[in-house]
Amino acid sequence: MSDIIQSLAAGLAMGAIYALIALGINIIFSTSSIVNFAFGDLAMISTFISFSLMSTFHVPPVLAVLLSIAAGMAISLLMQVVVIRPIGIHNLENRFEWLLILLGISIIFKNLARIIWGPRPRAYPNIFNDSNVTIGNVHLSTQELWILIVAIAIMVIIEWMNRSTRLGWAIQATSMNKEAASLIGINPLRIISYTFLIGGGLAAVTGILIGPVTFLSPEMGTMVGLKGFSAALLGGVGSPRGGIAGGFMIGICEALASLFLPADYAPAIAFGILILVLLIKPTGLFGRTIIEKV
Amino acid sequence: MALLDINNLFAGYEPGVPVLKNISLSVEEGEIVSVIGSNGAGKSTLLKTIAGLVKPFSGEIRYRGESIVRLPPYQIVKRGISLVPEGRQLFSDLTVYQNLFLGGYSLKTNKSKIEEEIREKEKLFPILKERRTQRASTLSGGEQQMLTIARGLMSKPKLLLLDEPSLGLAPKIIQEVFQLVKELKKMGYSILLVEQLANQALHIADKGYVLEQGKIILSGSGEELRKDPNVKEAYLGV
Repeated sequence: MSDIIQSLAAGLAMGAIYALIALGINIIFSTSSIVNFAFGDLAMISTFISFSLMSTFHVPPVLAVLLSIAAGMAISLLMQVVVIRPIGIHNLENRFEWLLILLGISIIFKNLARIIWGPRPRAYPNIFNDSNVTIGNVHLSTQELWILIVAIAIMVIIEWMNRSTRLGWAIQATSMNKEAASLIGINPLRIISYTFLIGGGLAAVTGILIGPVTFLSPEMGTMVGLKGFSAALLGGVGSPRGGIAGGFMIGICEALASLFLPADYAPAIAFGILILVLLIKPTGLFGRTIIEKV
Repeated sequence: MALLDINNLFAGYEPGVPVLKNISLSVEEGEIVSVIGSNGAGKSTLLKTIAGLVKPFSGEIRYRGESIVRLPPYQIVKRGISLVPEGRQLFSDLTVYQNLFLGGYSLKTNKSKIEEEIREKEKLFPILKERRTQRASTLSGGEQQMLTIARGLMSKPKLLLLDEPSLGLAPKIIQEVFQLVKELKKMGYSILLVEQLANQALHIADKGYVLEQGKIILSGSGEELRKDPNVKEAYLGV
């Protein structure tokens, strides 16, 4: 029994990571219709940046983390400005082209990391001290606890933004109807930029949170990014709450499955759940059918 | 100088396929100008071009003497032109209040100023006050039309572009909408109204234009046009 509770706790932490990625993918998708397949790789780049800041330039951890979040936001915005803006928001509906462009960016990120930091995995400095916290008879590493605290804080902030701020409403308005949004004075491109900034920040935070768990390598963002993407699909693309639920669901199922199955099967579990849910409800758990209006 | 002056305007969605052909029209301050025409005549395209959603091929659009053809929609609304789009185009998952609030987005002012503006609109449309916290998608067709107009007024425009406000509404509500347009004129708004319901639109208009296949084929005062035999036959069904 305590085994199950123990894995549940670990699953919650991983689930929170997937949920953050799903949030980031969702917010960018909601305004731009772009599925950001480079999300995991942006997380990886940002994590490497914080790593270099700390180990090579001896920047204090807190400052290094803040700087790498800023870097994640800047790179994400750069992606929007250099690659996406010239192609134009009028072409946003050409999903297949965007898919290829984003996969291309993902490959570029991975190879850049390989050139700068080398292909071998490295240990991330443990900025959270290495102790355990025991609640009842469940042991959580401080790392897992931090993941949960930070992730939940971010979820609360984003929910608050969507509910109560002008920016949150403008983001939703832009995602619902760009033409009507521009008619009331919203510049859709600017709102899309904001969502790329938010997404980039989320990517960086996610990377730094999992850095100590997964080791640093150019590949570290690939699998976790794909699972975050699955979480977004599972919850229903475009639904922030759906993505969060999807993330926790995948994290917990993976952890529970690891009690019975070898760890190598974890990805199969994630994608298995995804396929199963999409077979039954193609719009995802919380997704609604989008009726395209002429 | 007219508030809005359009000269020799050609515009459309695809290069080489003009929807609007050589349009010239003007709106004076404080006027209701109605553009009538059948489905597909280019009425909506005309308003969308003025609002900046459609880029003209050639010709001039001047607002208070200044050319606005190169401005994007979100800057045109800042200058005082507000398009109330056809088919309502509300932010359906947001509440009535949020829709109104966003209508004041271009004002770049603080929250309390926008709320003051909302209270004023709620006086004009009491039903919106009752529906404040409801999602826009839960409103009836007539209520949605009122909300769209109220949202369009939130940016404090001088010139209001109304695209088929009667579309899809019950006859009783349609009368209310035309009554409201007259009211808005009294409040000092200048209005460019595009309508299929030619009789009512011309009735409240100071000036009218008849649009056919992208060209203006007739213009005159509202009364003149209502008496014109061609208009009578083609649009008034007499």
